Amino acid sequence: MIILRNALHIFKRSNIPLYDTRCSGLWMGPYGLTSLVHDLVLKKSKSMAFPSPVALDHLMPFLLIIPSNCFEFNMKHILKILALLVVVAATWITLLETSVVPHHYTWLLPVYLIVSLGCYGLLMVGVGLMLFPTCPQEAVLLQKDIVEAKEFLGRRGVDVGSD
Amino acid sequence: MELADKAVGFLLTAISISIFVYYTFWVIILPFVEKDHFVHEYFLPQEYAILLPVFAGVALLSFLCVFVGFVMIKSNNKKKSA
Repeated sequence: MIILRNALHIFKRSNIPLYDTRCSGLWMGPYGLTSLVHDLVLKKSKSMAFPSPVALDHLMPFLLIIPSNCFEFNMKHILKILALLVVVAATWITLLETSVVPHHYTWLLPVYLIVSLGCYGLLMVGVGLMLFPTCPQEAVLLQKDIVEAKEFLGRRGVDVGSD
Repeated sequence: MELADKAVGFLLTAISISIFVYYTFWVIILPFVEKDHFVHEYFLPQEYAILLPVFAGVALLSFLCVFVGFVMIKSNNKKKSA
């Protein structure tokens, strides 16, 4: 009971916001708990201060893996691609070490993956070309608009002679 | 107009699917087939399974470099003359 009372006292004393409008707010619970543990274990010796929430926010992109829409798009995208590469490399190395499949297979695997990636890209381009939506009525209307605009501007004296 | 686009798109998909199937067969399925099967006649020796993609990749990279260099030289010439 004494520990609980002290814990509540510490939690109220520190300026941890209980509600954060950014979605990093869901980390405030664990943050509060860890700062509490930090204070209890280190007996409130202020030799190493617990990082403030502001400083933690700069670390958050490296800690969060769950999808969130609060952080920059570039950082998340690059991290996803890097994580995927690391996972692929790790599986390849474990395959090499444990020799589940014959050895010459695993040496061929990266080349196979690259070739299949190129094939997939080509496939996407081809499918996109096939399914590209053309709008013939809009094309006709556009031509009419162009003629109209040329005539209008020609009357006002603007030089539109570039056919 | 669209027909030409659709034809090119269909050609590209056909090429990519055929390359993928052939390569999968070559690399993954063929080592498990015994040596006397007739299918082996339709595929090149396995060393070419690595040489051909590497060669294609090198050719693509060199073509890109040559193209970029060509465009740069042309723009330099235009800047010098203009």
